Amino acid sequence: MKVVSLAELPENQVISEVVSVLKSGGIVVYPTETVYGIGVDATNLEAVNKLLAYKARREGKPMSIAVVDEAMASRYVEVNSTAKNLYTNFLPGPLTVVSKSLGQVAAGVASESGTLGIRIPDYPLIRKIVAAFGKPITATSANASYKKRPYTIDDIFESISEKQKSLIDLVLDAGELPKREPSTVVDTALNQEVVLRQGSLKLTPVGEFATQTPGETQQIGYDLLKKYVHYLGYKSVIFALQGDLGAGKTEMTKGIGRALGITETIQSPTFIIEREYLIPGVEGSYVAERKPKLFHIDTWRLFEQVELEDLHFVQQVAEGNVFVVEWADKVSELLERVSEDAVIIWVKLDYGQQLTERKITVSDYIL
Amino acid sequence: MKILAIETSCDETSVAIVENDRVLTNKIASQIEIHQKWGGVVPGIAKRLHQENIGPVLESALKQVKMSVVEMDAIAVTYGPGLSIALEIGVAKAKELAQAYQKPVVAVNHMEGHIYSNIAKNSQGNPPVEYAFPLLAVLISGGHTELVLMTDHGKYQIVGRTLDDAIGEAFDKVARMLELGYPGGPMIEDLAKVGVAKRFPLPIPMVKTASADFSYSGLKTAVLYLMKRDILPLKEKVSPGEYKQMICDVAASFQVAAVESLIIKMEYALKKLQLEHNINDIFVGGGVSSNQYLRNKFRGRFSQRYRVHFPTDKKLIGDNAGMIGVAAYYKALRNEFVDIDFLDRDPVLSF
Repeated sequence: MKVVSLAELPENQVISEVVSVLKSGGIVVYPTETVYGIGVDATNLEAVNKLLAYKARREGKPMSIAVVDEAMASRYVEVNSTAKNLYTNFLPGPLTVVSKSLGQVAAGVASESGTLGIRIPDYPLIRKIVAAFGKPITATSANASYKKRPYTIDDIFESISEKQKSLIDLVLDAGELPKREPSTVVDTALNQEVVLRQGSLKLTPVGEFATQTPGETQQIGYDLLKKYVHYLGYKSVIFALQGDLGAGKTEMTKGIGRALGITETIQSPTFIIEREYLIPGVEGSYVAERKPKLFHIDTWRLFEQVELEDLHFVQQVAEGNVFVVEWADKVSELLERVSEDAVIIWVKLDYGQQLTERKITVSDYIL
Repeated sequence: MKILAIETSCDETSVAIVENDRVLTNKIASQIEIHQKWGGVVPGIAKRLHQENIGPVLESALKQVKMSVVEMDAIAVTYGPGLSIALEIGVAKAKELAQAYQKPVVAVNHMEGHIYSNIAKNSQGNPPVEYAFPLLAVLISGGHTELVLMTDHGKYQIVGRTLDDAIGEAFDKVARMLELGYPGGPMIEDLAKVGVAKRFPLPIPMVKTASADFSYSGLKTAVLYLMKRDILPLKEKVSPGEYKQMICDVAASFQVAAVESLIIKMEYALKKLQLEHNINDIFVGGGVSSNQYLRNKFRGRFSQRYRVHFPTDKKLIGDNAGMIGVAAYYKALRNEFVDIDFLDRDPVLSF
């Protein structure tokens, strides 16, 4: 292991030395605007494995990579509009932006769910090194997992074994770093614009409505439920809602709940994905003794529709049960699968001309 | 009394060992680093990782305090609210241990745990927390916004709650509108530090409603309208620096409105409750209690009249078994053990 004091060596020599270590698959400890980081060639599997051995006990935590700019980032991840906003306005800086990985880095760098964190350090030397190297380097803190945050080289050495120490090839010592928090990590993959699709279900147009207040949107939900309630004797009724934040999805669900006689407050299910409410007894329904339920599901934070299956969605599609599925476009294929046992009402909520106006387009699928 | 506590309601697998109200060890295996701060759920992964982690986390907790399950007086477990398939794992483990070692089981409400995070002590018995019943507990997280009157250990009454979105969720959704990614809490808190809240004032939700209930959906919509009307049209017209400042200003304005709404409803609830109760303490629990702006505001507004408490340790802010163990200790004192044959998870459990 070689320790280089940045105060003593000219920058171009530092850069060429680091690049040669990275090229040979070595491990480099480097300063950033937050803590000391540890880097290897993020595309070199052997080097990454060596780094994983150094970090020890990571329990599948993903690492991040350091790049120079947005253009370089876009070779390794899908940069959506949220990510673009962050790159343009907040980077370089102490921020790790998580996006969907394009699979261009070595195994073990991206997360299990296929996402990858991008750092553009606000530390010119590191950006120069990455630029000269031409490939991203891993950007994870240089301490062993669960040990003290490293603000000095000694912080690192105190927390690691001799064996771990022997894995490091080069240390760039910038002295004591200002004690800043590690970078804030934000995930933009969840905000992927969903491709609007309703699968191959052939929907029949039902009608278009314009509402001016949340109360009116609620009333549409109430009226819609009343329109379809008679199916509950032998089917499920699924309201597939499609519409952006603030479009009125929860208001509509409140109307549906009210029409079902549910008196509990319908709260947003975003955090626990699914909330269920007992339906006290529906007029015109013959299944009250089966204790039917309203399931209010928010798929916003689901990556895959298989995760909705984990919540026993398919098994719950039975007569008498009512579903409201928010961001339904994400799980359209799953809806197709249950379409024999359910009436599916596709409700699209759009913003109107006026700020408070909503356009509600309803179509349905009844086998 | 020694209790081994298990918490798997969300995406942290946690095992703690407590002795009375002292947390001897509080092990947390966080599943997904990026969802860590305010909790997040990815059901499929959550279930598998809970299954994988529960054994090793249990072992490492016991190892740290050099104890075995035999020495425990009871097993405690969170049985709701939370994600059903995650809760199941913890409940199953608790049953397994209870049967194998013939231990009684205490079933704990996760939200009750967040209340007890305010009085949990470390292994040395610090910090000593002075409090008295009745008290007002403020539970704020990604899934909850509740004001709870606590008249004694185990005696709760909800006096105010959100009618739609939880406060932590509002932070997340507003961050999404500002194109800041997820989770939104830390980012908004950060940007708000340099933001000027007065530049884009937002309405305080439910300010005129005569109840202690909250609505964060309306505030979210107000931010949406502000973005559509005043901010986004300027995105390409102003410099990145100016645009960034505008986003910081919106973040600050939102944070002010969100916290102010909490304070107004707390004041409303306290005023009502003081007619019948003599309340001197406020407990604040849940992930959003890590927000420093909120802490300062709460202290500023309430500390002259009330003792304002927060979780006694960073580890006790998010989901953790330590707080569950301490809540379980007080339940065990009241002999509130459950028959494990009938114990089941209850994902929509309320107080």
